[in-house]
Amino acid sequence: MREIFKDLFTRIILSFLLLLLTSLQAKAQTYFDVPVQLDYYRTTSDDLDFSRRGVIINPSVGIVVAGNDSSRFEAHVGIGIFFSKFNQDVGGSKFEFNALGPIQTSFTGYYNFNNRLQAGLGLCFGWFGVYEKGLNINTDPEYPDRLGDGYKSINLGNSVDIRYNVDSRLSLGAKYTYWYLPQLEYTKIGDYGEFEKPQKDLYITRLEFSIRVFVTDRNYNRK
Amino acid sequence: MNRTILLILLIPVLNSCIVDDESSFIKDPFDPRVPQYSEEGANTAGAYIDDQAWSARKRIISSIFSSSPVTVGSVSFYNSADPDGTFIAFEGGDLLINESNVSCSVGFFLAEFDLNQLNDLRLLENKRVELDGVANYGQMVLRKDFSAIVPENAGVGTLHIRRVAKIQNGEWEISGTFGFSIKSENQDAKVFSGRFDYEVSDEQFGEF
Repeated sequence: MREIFKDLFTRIILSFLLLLLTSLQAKAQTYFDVPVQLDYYRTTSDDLDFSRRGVIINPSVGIVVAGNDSSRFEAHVGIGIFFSKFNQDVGGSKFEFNALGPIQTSFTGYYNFNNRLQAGLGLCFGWFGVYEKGLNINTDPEYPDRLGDGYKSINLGNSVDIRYNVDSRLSLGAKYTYWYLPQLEYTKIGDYGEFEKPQKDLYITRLEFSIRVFVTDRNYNRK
Repeated sequence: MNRTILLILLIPVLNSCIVDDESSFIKDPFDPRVPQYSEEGANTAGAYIDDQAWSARKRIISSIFSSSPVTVGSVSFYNSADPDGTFIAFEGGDLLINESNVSCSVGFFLAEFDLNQLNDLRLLENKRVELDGVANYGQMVLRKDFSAIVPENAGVGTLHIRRVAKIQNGEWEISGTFGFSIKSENQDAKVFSGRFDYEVSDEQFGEF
C-alpha cells in the first residue's frame, strides 16, 4: 500500500510540474479546482444495491490550453486523483469500498456566452483500483485475504458543466459526468453449480460543485 | 483476596487459543460474504443454504485444553464400507443466520468413487457427478460435524469437479462447484451456488 501511495504522490507532483511548465511556456492560465463531489451508483441486478458513501472533496489542477480574450471558445485540461467511495448491500450485509487511483483527467471545451458565463462539454478518464475498506483479516503472506477479480480499473465519461466567473481569478461551477464503463463484471454460480453468463454491472454518474481559483488574472472582460 | 484476583486474571489466559488461518479468503465481488470460485488452493468453500451465506475457511486451532491442534473448515475424504463409497466433507463452516454464525457442514456421498489416497483424486478430474439421491447425494448438518452418513437425508443436485492438480510440494489441489436440495421427513434444505477450492494432503483421508 505504501508503494501505491508513493507512486501516486510522484505522479501527482510530476503532473503538476508538467502542467505548471506548460502553463508558463504557453502563457496559459493555471487553476486549482476544489469540487464537492457526489457520486451516484446504479445497478442492473435485483440482488445488489450500491450507494454513495459520503461526499468527497477532491481537488485538482488544470490549465487553459487554448483560448484568448477575443475568442468565445476555450479548451481546458484538468488532472487530479480518482477517488470514489461506495457501499454494496447484498443479502442484508453491507460492504464498504473505495475506488482510489493516481489519475483522473478531463479535457473540456467551453463556450463563453458572455464575459461571465460559460458552458462546457468534456471527456473524462479515470484510472484507479477498487479495494474493500478494512479488508485484511488474514495477513499471513502465504494466505492473504483479498477481493476477487471483477472490479474494473478504468472508466471513461462525458461531462457537461456550467461556470460563472465571479471575478478575474474566481469561478463557480456545476458539473455532471456520465461515466460509461460498467465497473463490475461477475460470473454467478447457478443453483446447481453451473456457471452463468458473465454479467456487467455498476454504472456511475457524478455531480460536482466547484470553486475554481486561477493563479493568474483572467482577462474576463471579453468583448 | 489476592488469589481471587490472580484466578480472575488467569481465566482469559486459560481460555485463550491460537488460531492459525490457513486460507486465502478471496471475496466474491458479487457477494463478499462467500469466496469467489478459484483454482489456487485457497482452502475455502462457500454456498447459500436456504438463501443464507455459508462459508468455510481452513483454520488450525491450538488450545492448552487440547493435546493436538484441531483443524476446522477444511475438506476431508472419508472411505466408507457401508454404504460403499467415499464421503467428501467440508466441515466447520459458518452459516450466517440473523447476523450470527452457526456451525454448518456440507458433504457428498459418492458411491461410484473409492478414494483412499491422494493419487485417487485423479479419478475425480473434470467429473460432473449427478447427485441422484440414491447412489450419490449431498448432505448438510447444522451445529456439528458429520458423525455418520444419513442416506435418508439425501440431497439431489450436481457436483462439478472442475480442477484436480498435483502441486509441487506433493499436495494436490481440488476445485469445484455444486448445488443440491434435500427434501426428507427430517430435513428440508437448499444448498445452492456452492464453490470450493482446497489443498489436499494425506492427513485429509480417513475412514467413517
